[in-house]
Amino acid sequence: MNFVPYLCCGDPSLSMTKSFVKAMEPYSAVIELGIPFSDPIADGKTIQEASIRSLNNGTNTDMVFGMVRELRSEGILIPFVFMAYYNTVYSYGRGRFIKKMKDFGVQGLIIPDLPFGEDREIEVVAKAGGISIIKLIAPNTVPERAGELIENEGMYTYLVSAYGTTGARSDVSEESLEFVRRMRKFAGNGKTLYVGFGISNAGQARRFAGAGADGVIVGSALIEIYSGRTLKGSSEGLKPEIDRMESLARSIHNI
Amino acid sequence: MIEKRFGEFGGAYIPELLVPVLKELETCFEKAVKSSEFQAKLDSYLSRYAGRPTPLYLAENLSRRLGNIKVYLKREDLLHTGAHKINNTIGQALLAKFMGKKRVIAETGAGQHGVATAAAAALLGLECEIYMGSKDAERQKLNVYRMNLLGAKVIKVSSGSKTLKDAINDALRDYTTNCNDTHYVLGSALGPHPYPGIVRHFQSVIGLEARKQVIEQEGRLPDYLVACVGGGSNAIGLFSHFMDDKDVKMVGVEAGGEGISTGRHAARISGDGKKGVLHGSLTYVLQDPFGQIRETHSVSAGLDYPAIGPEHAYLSTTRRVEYVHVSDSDALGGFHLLSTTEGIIPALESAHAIAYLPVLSGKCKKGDVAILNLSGRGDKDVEYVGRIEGLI
Repeated sequence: MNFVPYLCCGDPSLSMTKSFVKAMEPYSAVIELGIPFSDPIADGKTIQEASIRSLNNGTNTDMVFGMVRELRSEGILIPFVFMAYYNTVYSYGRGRFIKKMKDFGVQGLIIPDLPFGEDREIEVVAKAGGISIIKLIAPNTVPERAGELIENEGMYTYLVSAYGTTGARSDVSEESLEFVRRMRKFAGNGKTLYVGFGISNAGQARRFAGAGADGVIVGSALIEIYSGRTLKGSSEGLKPEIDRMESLARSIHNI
Repeated sequence: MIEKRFGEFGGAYIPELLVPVLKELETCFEKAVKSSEFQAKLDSYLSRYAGRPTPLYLAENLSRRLGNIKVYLKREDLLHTGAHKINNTIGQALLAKFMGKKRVIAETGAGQHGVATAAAAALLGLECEIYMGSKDAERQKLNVYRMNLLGAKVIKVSSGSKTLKDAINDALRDYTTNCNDTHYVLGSALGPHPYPGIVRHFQSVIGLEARKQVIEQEGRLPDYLVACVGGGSNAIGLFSHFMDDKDVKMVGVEAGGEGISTGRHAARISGDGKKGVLHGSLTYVLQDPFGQIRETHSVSAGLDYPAIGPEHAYLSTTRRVEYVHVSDSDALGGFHLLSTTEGIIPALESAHAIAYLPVLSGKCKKGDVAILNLSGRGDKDVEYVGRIEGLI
């Protein structure tokens, strides 16, 4: 099964984010890189707190771009997707942001507070720049709109598994599975559907795979592995935590 | 039909989960305002419960002190729960019932909107939870207790700056989670579409009455309208019925805090805000060069917010409304000025508008008429100001 980790850039430090990327790469189809924002309304406690830690470290958009450039120059080839709130992109300049993504080697963009249709201009700019904008579908998205979102799919379509915000949960509700089944049937087999929000273990991932998902996105559960530690600097200090992150990634990858 | 955008401002920058929810809200709102039954209930509660119409009072002592200008006060401070907020919360609580929702949530800064929501929820038998920054809850303990008395649960928010903006973040998260049975009673003319239009609609009763009253009492339209602007609901409520009266000049007063150059203020338009998106709406926002939302400051909690309602952003670009700012210390001056001249203690928010009057009067011809929206009473601020001034 395709595994997609979400990492909050700059938490606990940009150099640690690089270590996490390298550790996740062998098991991942894509890596989502979150650019921290002060007011992340789609995120639960874990990613909120990671974002604040990162911002307190002084992380900014230029530094995240710099980290991507370093990873690319160090031979990391896996596709990257930025997860950025709309104001981060808007304040940077939409055209400038997209161009820099292209130049630095980031293939996709998720804006959790920009529903499809709200900013036609960024769609046009992204398309011209060869950047994929990933659409989200929620359990309450009406069929007509879901059809439109799938038709305009990016590298994959992000299925929001449940009502609410991001954050690790241990179970899977029947409603979530039913939603994924419904979307699979609706989209047909040619479309890539990844499920996110609340996934923290291989058991859940297996059930989503059974419902027709091509992959799962895991964020908060990875962050919770290391967030108790405040270590900065070398990856040596977080060796046990990185091992646990790898083992979670491997267990889902092997499904 | 309520407009989705004001020029380029406004819009609905929200998670996909809220797209169908806000669509339903818009549809129900449009149905409700066309329903004579809904309107009759609203009118009845506004007059018999909240205390409408509020007087338009000619403040003669204050006018004499100012010199040129003749000031009328629109007495929203006399409303139940002490401010204009109740106009909107009764409207939205009725809307929640109309939509079949069982529970309402709201954000609050100083507590005024929280108290007004809790009162409306108690009145209409709705479950009510209020999000309040933990810093604000500490500063306004009495209002926390007041909300509890009214049967509401207060949820203290300890993320981010622990103030109003963080309370809105958590209220939006709750709304995303519980939208099937919950209505979010947003307290100002901000947030994603359709909120700015809904809140303006429920607050426009202020302008509707004021226009009629000033014509009755003065025999003509005023030369100026003055109102303080946090999110901007009391201002837009007053302004809305004078938009097409080209000779009526309008002034919105923002919180200048300790001065624009100190960075400790909440002046989005008249200070150093830039275009951006916060809480679902494109508007002027106080932010750093990378789009992170800045912490704001004002002596008045109700004006202490980093974004401004999108219609105000638009009205500033068309120059229909002039936006200015007043410092903390001048606002405290306004607080005393109205108290001593008229025997009315204004809310610190409204005191910002009062404090602009001497400046405005200096630019006026003798006999120019102004309506100032006295959006709230100062009872809630008495202890705070007393402490600042070292008197209690």
